Order: sequence, then C-alpha cells, then structure tokens
Amino acid sequence: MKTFRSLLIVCFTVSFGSAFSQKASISIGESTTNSLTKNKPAQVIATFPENETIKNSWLADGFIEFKLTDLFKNYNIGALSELHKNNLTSKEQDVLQFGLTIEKDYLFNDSHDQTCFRIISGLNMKYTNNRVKGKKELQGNLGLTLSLEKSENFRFLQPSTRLINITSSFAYLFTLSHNHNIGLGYIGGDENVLLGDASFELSIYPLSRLTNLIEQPELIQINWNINGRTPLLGETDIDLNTLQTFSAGFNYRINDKSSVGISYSWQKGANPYTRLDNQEFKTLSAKLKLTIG
Amino acid sequence: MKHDEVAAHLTCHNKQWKVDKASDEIVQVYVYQTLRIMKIEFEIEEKEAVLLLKILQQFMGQTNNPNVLKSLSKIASEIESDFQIGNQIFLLLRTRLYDYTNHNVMLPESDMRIFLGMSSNFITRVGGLEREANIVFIQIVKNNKPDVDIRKLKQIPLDEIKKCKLISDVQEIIQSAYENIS
Repeated sequence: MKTFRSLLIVCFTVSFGSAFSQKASISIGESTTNSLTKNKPAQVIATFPENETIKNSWLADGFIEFKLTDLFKNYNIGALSELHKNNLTSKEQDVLQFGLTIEKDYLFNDSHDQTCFRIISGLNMKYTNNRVKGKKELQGNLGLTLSLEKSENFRFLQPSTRLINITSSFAYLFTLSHNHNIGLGYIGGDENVLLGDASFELSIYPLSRLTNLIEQPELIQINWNINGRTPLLGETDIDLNTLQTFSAGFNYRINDKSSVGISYSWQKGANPYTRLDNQEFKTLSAKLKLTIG
Repeated sequence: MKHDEVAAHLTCHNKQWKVDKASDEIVQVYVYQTLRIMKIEFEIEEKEAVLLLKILQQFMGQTNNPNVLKSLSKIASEIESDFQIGNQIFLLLRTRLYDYTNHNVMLPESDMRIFLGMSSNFITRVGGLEREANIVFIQIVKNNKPDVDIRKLKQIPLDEIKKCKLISDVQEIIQSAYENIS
C-alpha cells in the first residue's frame, strides 16, 4: 500500500485582481491566449506523495500578469508569466511562458456621439519553454472581440450581456450570455506556423430569477466553450484539434469581488499554445475568486 | 494652573476666553461667540433626507425667532439643492443611457447588469459608462456652476465607475464630483 509523507491536494481555482493604484493591477487567470481564457479562473491541483518512486502530480493552468492600465490613450500594457502543467492525464503537458501583452479598445460612435460598438483587441508575445519536449520558441496571439453595446434589433449579438431580462417569466427557467474571440496565432521555433483562431463561449444561468431572490442570480452556472484553429501559413505536427470545454457548478458570490463555488468540467481536444495534446479528461474542482484592492 | 496654560486649554475648545491677569486667580472670564464658518458633512439616505426636510420645514413654520428661521432655511435650501442636483443627474443619465439599457425602465435602484441588461464591457471598459458619466458631470457643472472652467475639471476615473452596480451608484459618484468642485 502506498504511503504519503505529505499529501497536499490543492483543488481550487483562483481569479485574483489587486488594484495597487488607478494605473496598475495584478491579475491571475487561466491563460492569456485570448480574452475568454483571460477571464477564466486559474486552476491548481497538486499532490506530493512521500514515496520517492511515485512522481508528484500536477494540474496547473494559470497566468499572473502585472498590468499598467490607461498608460497611453486607451492602451493597457502588461508583463506576464504563465504555467500549464498536467501529468495527471495520458499525455503530459509542462509549459512555462513569459511575455508581454498590449490591449486597446477601438471605439465606434453613432450620430449621437455615443459609443455604438467597440473592438477589443489583445496582442501578446510569449517566450515558451516546452519542458516535456525540451523545445523553446516564440509565440504570439492577436485576438479581437466585437462588442456591440447599443442595438435594439441585434441585442442577441451583444457579448457579455444578460440576454434574457431577469424580470421576464422566462428567467424563471434561465438567463444566458455569450462571448467570442477571433484572431491570429503564431508559433515559432521548429514549427513556424501562422494559425487562424476562433473561440465562442455560452454561459447559462438556470433558475436565475429564483436565485436572484437571494441576490445570487449566477448561483448555478453551465458553460460551454469551443476553441478552433486552422493553419494559414506553414505546416505543423502539433495537435490542432478543436478544444471543447463543458462545465457545470455552483458559484456563490460573497461580495462584488469575491466568490466561492464548485464545478465539474469536461474537456476534449488540443491547445497548441499551451501544448495540450489532443485528449479528453474530466475534473471536479472547488473554486475561489478573490479580488483585493 | 497658570493663566497662559488656562488660556491655552480653553482655546483648544474653539472659544476665545479672556482672563484677568491682574490677580493670581481667574476672577472673570468673558466668552466671545465667534463668526467661524462650519462645514458640516454627513451621509444620510435619501428617504431620511426627505424626512429631515419635512421636519425642518415644520419647525420653520412654528418659530418666531428670525435667527432660527434663517438657520433652518439655510439647511433646508441646502438639502433641496442636493435633491435638485441629484434629480438633474438622474434625468440626464436616463436620457444618455436609454439606448444602452435595452429600453428597460430605469430607476435609481436599478441593477445595471441584472435588471437593465447593460453590457459588462460598456460598464467596465474605457469609453462606455465612464464616458457617459463624464458627459453628464460636465453638463451638470455647466448648468449649475457656469463660472467653473470645465477644461480644468478632473475627470471621473474609470476605476470608480466600473465598481458601480446600481444607477444610484453612478449618480452618487457624479454628485460627489460636482460637490467637490472648489
């Protein structure tokens, strides 16, 4: 029977933002690949058995970013470090990244001089160390999100917006929102390939109107995320299978900035930017979202 | 206690005291009322302010003392002025944000995301709610303090606006910025 000298199972998800001043912040999330993964919480599961013949187990998906906001006109600039390490699955993943990010919103006004829609752009350049294959390379991502904010007829196209009014009787069943990101990705080193990327996320909040009675309209959450890419220039042997993630769980808001919850998620596919080879796995994790400052 | 110490001690209480130095003891103390202007600031809920205003108006109707009447009317008119500015801000916000709220009925206590269905990007990113709030702020200053040079006004920062949950939160930030103009 295996014995454990020290068993640490950290099974939590952290999304952390700390505003040091009006111009600087620190944030932790899942990945800086695009705006969707940036808003997701980071995840860490680690097990350290006593028996030295048994390897430590890891599932870590996260980044930490120090960002200067509004540095120039509408520009945010950040420095990041990112870790994607998973030896709990059949195909091991161990990637460490360092890089820079630049964000800018392009605003489009209507005849009343009001913002009608915006394009949220995010560019990042990362030095990537793939510690499983011993390869080092440069990566880059350019992501765009079209955010329609003022439209009567195309309300269903508004991202990050509650699309069913909570006062409607339909909200007894659920409310929902969606988000998307399209862009380009470059993987250097031996690969030297330019990829086209597209991501879409749908979030459903069942029984939203009922849970809103206790001021928890997002208590129950179901999320579906699909992320596809295709080579535009060059060829690569990296797995490019479409990545799908489905998760369901509870999320209790402690206050405007912090929440705790539990979530079950299923993941199938590959992610070339974090060197996640094509595979399928499930996780059950507790969640903690903290914002300090 | 010596005279100087007594005088210093008494001065601490914001009153002017005169001590007869001819004798070793304090034989007579004169108290002068000063014309010091006091700035009283405290926060109360709007419904409490309405109640306070009613009570002040009731007292104003009962008193025969012109000084008391003057003092009460000063406080009452200050409260009424706050109400008036608050209403102006709300009406401007309602007009400016109408198309961003999917034509839902906007009230001060409306939750912007949950009830009005406003976009999170609009609320939390530059050029959205922050821009509209600053337009309303400038308009309020132009309407009520025409002498102020609006080019020198300090803009309401995005960090304050993106924390807002209710319309009344935005209203309060604008009103606070307006009241802080020297």
